[in-house]
Amino acid sequence: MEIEAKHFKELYKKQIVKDRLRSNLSKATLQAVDSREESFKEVDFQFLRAQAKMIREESVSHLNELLSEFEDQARKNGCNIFYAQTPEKARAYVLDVAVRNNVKLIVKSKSMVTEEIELVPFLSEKGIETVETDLGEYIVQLAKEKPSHITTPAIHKSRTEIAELFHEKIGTEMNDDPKFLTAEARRVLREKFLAADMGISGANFLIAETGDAVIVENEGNARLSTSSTNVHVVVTGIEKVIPKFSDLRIFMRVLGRSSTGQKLTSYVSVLRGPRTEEEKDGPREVHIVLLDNGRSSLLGTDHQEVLNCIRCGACLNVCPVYRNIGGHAYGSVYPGPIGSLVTPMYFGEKNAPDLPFASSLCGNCSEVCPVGIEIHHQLLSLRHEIVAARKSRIERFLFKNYRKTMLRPGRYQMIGRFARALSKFSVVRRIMKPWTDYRDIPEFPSQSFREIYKSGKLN
Amino acid sequence: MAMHQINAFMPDGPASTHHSTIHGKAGSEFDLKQDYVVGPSGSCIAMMRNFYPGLLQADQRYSQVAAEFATRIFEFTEFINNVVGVEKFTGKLNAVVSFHDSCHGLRELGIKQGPRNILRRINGLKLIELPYNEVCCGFGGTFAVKFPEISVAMADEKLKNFDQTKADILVSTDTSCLMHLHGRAKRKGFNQRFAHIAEIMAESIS
Ligand code: SF4
Repeated sequence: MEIEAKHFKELYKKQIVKDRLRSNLSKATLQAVDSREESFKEVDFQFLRAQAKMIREESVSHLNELLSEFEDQARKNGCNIFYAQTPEKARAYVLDVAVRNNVKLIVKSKSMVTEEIELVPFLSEKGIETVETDLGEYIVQLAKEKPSHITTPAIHKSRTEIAELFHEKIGTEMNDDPKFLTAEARRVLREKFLAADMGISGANFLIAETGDAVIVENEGNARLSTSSTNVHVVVTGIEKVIPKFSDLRIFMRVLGRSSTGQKLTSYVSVLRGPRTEEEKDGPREVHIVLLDNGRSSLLGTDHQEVLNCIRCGACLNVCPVYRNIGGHAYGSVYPGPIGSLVTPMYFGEKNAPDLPFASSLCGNCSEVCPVGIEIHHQLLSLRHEIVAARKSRIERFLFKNYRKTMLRPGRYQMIGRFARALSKFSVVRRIMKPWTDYRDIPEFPSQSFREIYKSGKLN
Repeated sequence: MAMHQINAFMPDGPASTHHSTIHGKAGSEFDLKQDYVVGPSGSCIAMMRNFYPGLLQADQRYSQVAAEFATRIFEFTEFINNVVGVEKFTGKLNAVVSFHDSCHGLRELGIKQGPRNILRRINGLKLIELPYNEVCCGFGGTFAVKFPEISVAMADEKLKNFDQTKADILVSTDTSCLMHLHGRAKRKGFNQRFAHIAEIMAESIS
């Protein structure tokens, strides 16, 4: 599957000049950063993070066993489990469920994995309408765009832009009060919930011990999507499994805080299979689609820890690169620091050759990650691999000479003298264009520090 | 340095921070037999302290040398605070400064209070903290020339915050952040000064 991330260099250049976008992003992400920090003041972040990391590491290193335990339990609860190796297989399975049940309208809550497999466009191509019911996703769907953030899909839009969009698409009056806009969306979506014949959701956690799918959200739409129709399909990644229900106590403390600075999200839903005899509502049929799409190939490699991610979005919010170019620039459903890792890992390095380099490696992402992924060190090691595999001729030439120079003090000092002398000439300045087009270069001193030091003038 | 009975020595070779270079000869810096090796940039020290040992792990000849070397290298302000003793230093300089935490100093080496302790020992110097002082300035090595538009957008944010402090000098521990920020500031017509903390210390005692 080819994705836009291939064209990152063109994409980011288009985004970075949009001042309004940058100011929307700056406001929203910095607010998230501040709230996150505030919310962690009353708990011990390092302690919780160590626990969360331990559980995720344990889960990922026993992925096979945990998945089969989950599968057994979920089957006992009456769910159908389908392992999809590829996006194509996942889509075909969901379509099949929909067709068998004669489905015309689907209500869907947030699931990044459905974005990853491009499920909604696929279903609509097959004549099945799928409505996004998460407010952010709904906004993005109305605008015919893609989400630009993994937890706040419409983060790139200001209130006013959303009011304009609603006015144009669903005929609401021009009013940018968030309460008003939410109520309007709710009005439209309620109708859809009542008319829908199938629901789709993601899952934040799968519990091996109980076979549960756990969904964390703030709007109540996921709870409605999982309970208001007869058929429900959960679409998620194989790595989401954790051993025990009680493990949630750690994740519930870090997830909301990391995402939005909330102590706990407004809704935590636990989906345990279709409705039982005694229950009055809930789906009669539940399917759980578990996507691999490159995930299992990371097991046992140096990149395994990337699978620990709980998709909280904190690394995006703190990332100054993300803040300046926004999610769409990455050309992937997974933007930001974690996106620059998983995009080449899930979709192939050829699909995202630039993303691992699009970072100043400042390490702020690793600092906030609630499951302790060394994100920037992972980026660095991915760079090593990419460069080793397909180093460009010029890069190879430069590094070969760099190496020679760094190994020979005499050569290093001579080149230094040359550079200081030549820096006056415009040809030399032209080579430095990527630097000099944007910044001045310092005046080179006529003597290096070493020369001054040797001359004894320092004492 | 002479004041505190420290003999300084300037090595001939550069410090290498590239993978194949380290393997090639494990950097001439390993030949330095001095008790301490001090550098004026957090990133370089982080490379040598945090990454050399890992990169050279499989190398019989150098793995131990690298691990031992890692214990002797210091970033300049670490050296002043933890080896020399910051109390031995006092200075005087009338200046209003802001301080930029360099990412690798901050996150790889854990340098946060050290430079501030030093600045506090300069009479007449007033430190005004930058808003969002832990956000990257956008240098990032090759990142600065691979994605220059993003790199300078980050610099611009930093400069905007610096401008707000109304300070005259932006002080930092990393020469590369300073070169990047100063270069961008000049291009944008800012006329504040950008200085390494060692320069400020030198001025305060001269
Ligand atoms: S990598 Fe860490 S910080 Fe980023 S989304 Fe995943 S869990 Fe959150």
